[in-house]
Amino acid sequence: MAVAAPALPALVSPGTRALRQFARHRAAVAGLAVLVVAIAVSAAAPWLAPYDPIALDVVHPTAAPSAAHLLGTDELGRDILSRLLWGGRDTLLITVAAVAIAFASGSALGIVAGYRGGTGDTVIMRIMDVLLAMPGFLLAVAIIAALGVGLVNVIIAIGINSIPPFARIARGSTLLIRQETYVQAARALGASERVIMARHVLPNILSPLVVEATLRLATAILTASGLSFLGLGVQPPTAEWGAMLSVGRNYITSSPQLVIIPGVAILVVTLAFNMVGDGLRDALDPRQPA
Amino acid sequence: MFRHIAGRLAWAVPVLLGVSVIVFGLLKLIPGDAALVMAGTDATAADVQAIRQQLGLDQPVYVQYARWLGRLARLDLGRSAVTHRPVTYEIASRARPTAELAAAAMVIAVAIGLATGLTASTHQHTIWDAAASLAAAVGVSMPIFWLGLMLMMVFSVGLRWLPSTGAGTFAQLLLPALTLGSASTAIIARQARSAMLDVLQQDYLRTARAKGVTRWAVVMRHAFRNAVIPIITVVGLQLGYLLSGTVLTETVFARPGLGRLIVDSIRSRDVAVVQSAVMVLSVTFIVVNLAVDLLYAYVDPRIRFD
Repeated sequence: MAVAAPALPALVSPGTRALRQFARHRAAVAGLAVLVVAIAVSAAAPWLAPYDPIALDVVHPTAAPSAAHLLGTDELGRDILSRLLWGGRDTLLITVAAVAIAFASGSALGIVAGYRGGTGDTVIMRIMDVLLAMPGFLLAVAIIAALGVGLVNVIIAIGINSIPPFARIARGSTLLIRQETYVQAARALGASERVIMARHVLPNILSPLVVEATLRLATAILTASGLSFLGLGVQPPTAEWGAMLSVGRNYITSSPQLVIIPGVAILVVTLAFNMVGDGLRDALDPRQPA
Repeated sequence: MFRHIAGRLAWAVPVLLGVSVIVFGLLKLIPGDAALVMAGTDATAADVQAIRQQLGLDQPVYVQYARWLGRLARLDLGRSAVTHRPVTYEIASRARPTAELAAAAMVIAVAIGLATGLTASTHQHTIWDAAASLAAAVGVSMPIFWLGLMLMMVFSVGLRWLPSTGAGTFAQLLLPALTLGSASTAIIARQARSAMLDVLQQDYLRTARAKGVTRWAVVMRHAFRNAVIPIITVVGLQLGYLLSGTVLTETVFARPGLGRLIVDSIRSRDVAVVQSAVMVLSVTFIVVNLAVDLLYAYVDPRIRFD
């Protein structure tokens, strides 16, 4: 009597496993879908937007939604849908650029600190401690106070503000990984420090950094729109979601849609970033069963 | 225990100095001349020069920093370039609304957050747990300035139950505190839920249930006390968020607090006030974090004797 061989579990790569894990996370998939749509329609704003976002139509100010203006018009008769689409460009551009800066510089600092150790490590990490010792949003406000308002300065402020967590995570992971055999082997083979850090350390500590980046995007969008709301970020008449809210609040009794619409946009995109971040964290966590 | 406290205190000094360098350095970058702002529009060049000397602006930067630090230590913060009143007065008169707001928001966040998190953890896989998770996800994703405006729209403009602006009365505190505390409520609820779920699986809890301890006592006495440490950590971290969140909340509700003072002073380029107010909020944050650290050691003996 033949004995059936026991079915072996199919071998899957860590990437495939993470992807499956992520796909099982329904909220994360929904979040990702929302983000794809938000980024696509913002990028396509010049073609999708029915009107010029800063063109005035003083004859029809604060009009209710209609066939001509799907979301109505604002206090100066500008089409809210067009402003929302164009505003998404600035809001998402600031958010992504700021987090990209923080991701790149924070990871680099953290890897160097963790890999080299010594005085450099101490200096880098103590500076990070000091940055973290200031309340986050307040630091961004202080940086804006120094640099002045405007889109680029908001990116810089949020970028600097977001460096410390990346540096901490990168340093911690590097400390764990520098003792691994493959790093030791690369060193024995004569690879330069730079090559080891870029080719061997960075790819292997990427997961926690990517998770942090996704969750940071959520914080960054709230900070960016908050700064614009205070008048310290993107300036009117540019359509940016926080700036739209800032002007809209003057019409809160007469035209509540000027406040409701941009706020919902910020909420939805932030929620999507958070959900994708949570999903990625679960999917990339090696302690989770596949 | 003593060594632990001494170590934490000794560490706070360089951090405070580092923060003071950042605050001083950043605000030194501000374009424009503080002396010009102070002198007003109809001042002569000689007037401006006199003010510049009086303020020490003709000295090298490190001398200015050392002097500023010295005056900071003596709480002599100079005068506002706009109102010409002492900065100490400007800050002292604005500190109370901010302290009240942050404290009230913290109370709301801890109370609602703990209640929600505990309920969710003891009702895992029910509709209550799912609802709490959803509420927490929305809570951390909501722009607080928008939530403030929405609450104002409903409770001040629509129902006319609560005032929308000002400070001083309990009614004026309620909406701003709810607004500011919303995200922290969500974060505390999440942390309380996961910390409780970890503890609820422990063997000693099964033992407690098996020997007939009432459900309430199991949850509160046996489980919660062991889950409290990770919760305290998160509560401590919220303080920095709450302090900087006052900037947005006070702007929405027109509360005359420190956060509002900072924003107004940035607009009017009143450097002395911005510097001092940012410094006051940062020092408060560092001191409270220190207190949380020490509380942590008090609650968890393992840290004390490390």
